[in-house]
Amino acid sequence: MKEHIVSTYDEDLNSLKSNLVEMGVNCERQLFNAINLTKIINIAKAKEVVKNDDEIDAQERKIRDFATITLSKRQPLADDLRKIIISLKISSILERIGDHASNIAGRILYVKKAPESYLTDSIYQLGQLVLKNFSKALSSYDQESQKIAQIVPAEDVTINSVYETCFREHLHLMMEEPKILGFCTQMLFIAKELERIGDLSKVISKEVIYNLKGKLVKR
Amino acid sequence: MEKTKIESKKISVFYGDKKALSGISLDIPEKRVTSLIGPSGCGKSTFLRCLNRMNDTIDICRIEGKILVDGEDIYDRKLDPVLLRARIGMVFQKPNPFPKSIFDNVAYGPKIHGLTNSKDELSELVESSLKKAGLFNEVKDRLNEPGTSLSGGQQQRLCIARAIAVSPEVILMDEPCSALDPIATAVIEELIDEISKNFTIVIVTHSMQQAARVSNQTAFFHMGNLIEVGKTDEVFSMPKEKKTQDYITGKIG
Repeated sequence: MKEHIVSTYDEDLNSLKSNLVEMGVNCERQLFNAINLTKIINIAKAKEVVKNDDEIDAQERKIRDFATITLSKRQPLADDLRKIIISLKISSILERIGDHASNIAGRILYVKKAPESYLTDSIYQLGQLVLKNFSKALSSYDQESQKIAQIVPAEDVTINSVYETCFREHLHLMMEEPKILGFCTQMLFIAKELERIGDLSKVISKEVIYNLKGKLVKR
Repeated sequence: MEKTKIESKKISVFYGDKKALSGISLDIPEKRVTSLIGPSGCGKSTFLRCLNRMNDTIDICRIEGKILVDGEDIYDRKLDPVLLRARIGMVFQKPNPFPKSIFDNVAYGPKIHGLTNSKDELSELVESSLKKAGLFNEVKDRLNEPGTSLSGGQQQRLCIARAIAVSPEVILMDEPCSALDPIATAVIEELIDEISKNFTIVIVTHSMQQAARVSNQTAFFHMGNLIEVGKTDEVFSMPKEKKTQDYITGKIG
């Protein structure tokens, strides 16, 4: 990749990217911790996840400010312009993903502990798929790889069908044992949060393709 | 479908032994703004000057290829370059009003081409040209003052009024805003937008943002070659050629 004549311009763009990757890694960690809570409930960990969301929000503000200054200072065009536009888009998507992770932890704080008869780990499994696909979306951005970005939407189809299965499974559980109705409802909400993260990972991958190709693919 | 006003067919320009332009083929649509961009010495001004035969005045300059305006070859020997330049006006980088009054600056062209029949008609033409150039309200009470007494931005608009006065079909602009402050530049850009409804405009600019703002079509020149031409929105958001991308993003000089 050729460098700009003005070297500080390259530094600005690199720093924008590394800030965004850092924010992404932070979200990944939050998501990892939140998903683990669906298998082993841990109140202290859940509180930590809720609290850490503030950091992600602060990172989004920082990226937004930096992107705004870069836009006004450099008046970017072509691929430079797209890089900045997608950093704004992706940072706001990451902020949403951070919220979803924090919501998962919030629901865990609400249920406090799992009923003994609740034996399934299907939501944890759904979470693993979502986490893996989110990581792929992040690396497609980091490595500017269209190849990786194209995998993400395909994987999301699997995620959606696993989500449907989870949903039906929990309906059965609730019908069989009305006592765990409250708990299962919260778990279903968690499944919905995960499904949303799946969709948002897909949007990230589309932004990456837009950056590389200059054309927005249909959602 | 847009009508093509100017067709350039394989235009090559030589200054002595030096080739300044190599085989440029470019269509310029009617009543649209076409911007020519590229680094200094890339040939964009040379190309612009070919369009109204300004290069004729340079002895060592030799031109190959054809330029057709409305299908008519402008390098035809029978064609009078003075009449051609009335059809294809030009505005230069540095505002260059004649050392005459504001009124006479605008009236000069119509007078020598005999475009009006009476004094009143001439006054009307001067007024309407100044209005089209967005200058009339600022100068209506001082039409007899010298054109050079105006500010830089006003002088440039005076030059545009002077170009418009002879009812040209095409207006060529060679970096018309490079000597102006941002406010005067914005006024000229607004004016370009306005007058492009009636005139075909070709503008050479070093400001990528200006090209992106004012033009419908953009052509990128590099070392005497036309590298890329396309819709302005596409050239600045997703250029097809690597060289264009490198230039507009500031990666080559």
